[in-house]
Amino acid sequence: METETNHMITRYLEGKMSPSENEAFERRLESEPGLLDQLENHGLVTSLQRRLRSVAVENTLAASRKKREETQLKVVHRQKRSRRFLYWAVAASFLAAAIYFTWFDNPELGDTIYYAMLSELSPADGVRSSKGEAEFDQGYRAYLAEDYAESSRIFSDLVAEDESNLVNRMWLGMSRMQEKDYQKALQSFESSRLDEFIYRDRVQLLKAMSLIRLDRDIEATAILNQLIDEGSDYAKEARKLLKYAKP
Amino acid sequence: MDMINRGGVSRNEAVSQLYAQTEKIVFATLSRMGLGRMDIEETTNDALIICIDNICSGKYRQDASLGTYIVGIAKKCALNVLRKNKRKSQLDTPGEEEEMALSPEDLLLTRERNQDLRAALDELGSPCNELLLLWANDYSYREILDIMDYANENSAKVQKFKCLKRLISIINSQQGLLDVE
Repeated sequence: METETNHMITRYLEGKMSPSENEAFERRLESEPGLLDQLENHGLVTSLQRRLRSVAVENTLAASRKKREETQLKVVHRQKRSRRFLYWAVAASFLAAAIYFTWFDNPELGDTIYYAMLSELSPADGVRSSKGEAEFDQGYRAYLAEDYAESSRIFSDLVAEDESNLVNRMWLGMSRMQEKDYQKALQSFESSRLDEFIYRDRVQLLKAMSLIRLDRDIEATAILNQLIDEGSDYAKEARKLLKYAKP
Repeated sequence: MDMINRGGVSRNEAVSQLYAQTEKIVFATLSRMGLGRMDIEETTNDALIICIDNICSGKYRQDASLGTYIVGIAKKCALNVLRKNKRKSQLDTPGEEEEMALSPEDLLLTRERNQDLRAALDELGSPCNELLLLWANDYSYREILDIMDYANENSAKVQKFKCLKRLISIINSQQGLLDVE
């Protein structure tokens, strides 16, 4: 009987039953728990279960591997994000430093730099005046001897004699700058004919220096920017001086 | 071990843990044997599948730790791969191959056979393939009822056999490979 049932189960599983036989067998399955148990323990069923189990385990392994890979990918992405953030942070720091030094870090135009620049801007050959050469020489020698009170007095007299003499006005201005009388120095440089003057750019720089010392940085910046924009021979000096003008 | 024998969700968790715990050592062992990355991944899979099968069928006698056991199986699987790839020269000792060869039973579980079965399951379609895989992974009928829509355990059982019958028919029509153990 058992062998007969086993044979029937095999025929059922292998699809060798007629449709009516098949239907009858499945009805029995629903009502006979014993038959279900026999079917459960049939060799073909247990063999298939084992092989199907290996597929199920394979699926689980694939899911585990995928999960791990996703986790690793997330870690890699996180690291990349951190690295990218670091790059941006470094770049931002450089940018901030550049902005700071360009716009905000305006060192004082201290005496050392001030006098060095003033010395650079003093014409080496004296730039002779066309009038009153003897007096001019006295003033020039006083200036070279660092007797600025004397040079100021002499050039002041020369300017009083001829206000249109821009060379004398320039030397007077420089003498006053040496005396730290920036306001008067500026007055010496001012002239409606300045644009015609051969040393106009040099005088403009001297004016900018005086303005910076008087904390009139906006006016100084305008003069210096103009020299830079015009491509003046003194553009390099203007850029250097611009560092000391507060925005 | 218990989790694996319990089946169902517990087994899935155990398999994931086992994979995480043994992956590195198996990878290192198979690398030393000269397997490529793809072969290593597939061989690790095979080793774990055979290990789970041996635990479920009571063949694993706990003579060695589970990790050592898996590495041993992985080596056997690797030898099969090397043999297939004609890379015998990389074997450590000439006698090792015979000693460590896989049994025909184990070979039944290799991925080539699984691929055939997977193709048949695909053809079987849903929900039959899902039901059969849950059953094969020893989910209890109570668990199956939680996941799938069947009136009661008995009807799930009957449905399972109907699905199994269809699967056998598909396999026979495809290749006629099905053998009773």
